[in-house]
Amino acid sequence: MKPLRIIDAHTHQWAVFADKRAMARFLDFNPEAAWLVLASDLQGGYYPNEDEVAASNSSTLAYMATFPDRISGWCYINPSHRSAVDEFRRGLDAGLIGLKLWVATRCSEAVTFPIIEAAIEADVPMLVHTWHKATGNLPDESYPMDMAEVARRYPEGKFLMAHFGGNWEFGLRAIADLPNVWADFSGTINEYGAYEMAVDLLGDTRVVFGSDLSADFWGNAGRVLQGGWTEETLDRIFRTNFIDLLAERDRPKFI
Amino acid sequence: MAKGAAGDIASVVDVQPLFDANLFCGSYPFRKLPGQSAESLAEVIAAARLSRCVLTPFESIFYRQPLEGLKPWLDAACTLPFKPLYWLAVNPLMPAWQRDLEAARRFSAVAGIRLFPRYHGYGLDHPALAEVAAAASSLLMPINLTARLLDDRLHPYPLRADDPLAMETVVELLQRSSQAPWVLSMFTMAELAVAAPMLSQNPNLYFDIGCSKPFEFWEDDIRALGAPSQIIYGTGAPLYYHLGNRISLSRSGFTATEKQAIFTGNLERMLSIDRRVAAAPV
Repeated sequence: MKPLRIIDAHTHQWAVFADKRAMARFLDFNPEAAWLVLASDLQGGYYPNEDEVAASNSSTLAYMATFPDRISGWCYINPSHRSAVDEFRRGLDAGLIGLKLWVATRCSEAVTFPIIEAAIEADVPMLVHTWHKATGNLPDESYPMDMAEVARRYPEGKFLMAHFGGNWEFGLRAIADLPNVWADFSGTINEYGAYEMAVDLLGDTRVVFGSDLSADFWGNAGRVLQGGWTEETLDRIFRTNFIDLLAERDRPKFI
Repeated sequence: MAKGAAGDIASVVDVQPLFDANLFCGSYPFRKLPGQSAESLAEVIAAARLSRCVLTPFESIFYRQPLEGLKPWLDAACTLPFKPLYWLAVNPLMPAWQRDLEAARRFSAVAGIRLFPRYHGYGLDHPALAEVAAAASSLLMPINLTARLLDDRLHPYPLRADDPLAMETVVELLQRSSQAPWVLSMFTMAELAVAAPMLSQNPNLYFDIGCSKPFEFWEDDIRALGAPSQIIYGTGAPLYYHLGNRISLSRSGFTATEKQAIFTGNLERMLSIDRRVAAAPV
């Protein structure tokens, strides 16, 4: 087996990684984690104001400047802000490589459409948090069916559904027939069968690796490795599927 | 999808012997899992490279007669690469639970009893639980208190569980029953942190951290709990992925001696208590 070179498409510089020394420690100890894509530190809680969103993106850019060969970033946006599209363009101009939506609005709401259209115009992927929780979603937290709805509305968009929709048996079915939706399983859900169902249902070209760092990197990577996939499939999940999602200008040349 | 051999743990970490404190088998009602037959279970054991294990048949959790869920597996064990031990689920609300406890004592392969309060519907202050704990304690029989089977957010509707166990009530229970060897299994790391001060008060208390979902830097989280000598490891397989967490612990900064203790030694020591008890008059 070739040495692992993993792109982690869904990470955060929060919790222990709010300290750059912890990030340096992680990167030094885990050369297999070749490239991390930060989805910001999500300042301001569920409904961040404009300053908090801007500060989150500035934080991501600061990590990119400190670890230029190992870290890139998503542009975090609260679509309800009047400045959302401007902030998004500021982020892309500074080097961020896609749009990150969390729980301030459901992705299928009309208020989200302008930022989605801006991402499509820029040819960048969109990382969309989704969950279907037995314990109940947050008021404006997207369900996998929201993801499916907006992906149907924008077939030219490139969507990455986070967490396989949380409840993955539900989430993966919701997007199975939508070729413009990829999925990552990032996070702490360790129940067996998720990657197996994803590869079965989506094929190995629409599954992207993410850990949700500071969730456990190897805990997540091991779920993929346990599957015993061919090296070709592993390389797709760990690396090339995400590279293919990126705009040509944003594709890493060194991985 | 064609599969290759890339899932070999040896590609990213040295393999260590593992005495799995939390392996499941049997029929899980809500999803098809490996391990439904002895033959399939042997494959799970081989894939996870287990050196020993303590098994919990799903049937013994969900049947009202837990022994009926356990007995077929006692017979099937002869086809496995080693003789497994078992947790016997006991429901304190069932009349004559003493019969189950007596059976647990009688079968040498039963390492201890296992409690699932959220699925069997009783609080940790229920008098019947106190009686079960006292009876097990008098036998020095290990008691595994299980916080959950699944992440709370994933429970299928028919398995809607009671609210998560309040850790204050867990601590109170442990204080009331400090003579018994206790294992806290499938608690989150944050929950275990609340009960962590109990480790120094009760040397017979063990935390199974295999399904506790630590964040990055396992060593820091586990050391913060204190007493690595009271940490054991259960995979939760095949309900859970077994490989990733094992890689994380293997690559952590614990010394080789500490890792050996967490992966095998601490559980062996805890169960030796049971062996002494099994030979003792009741």
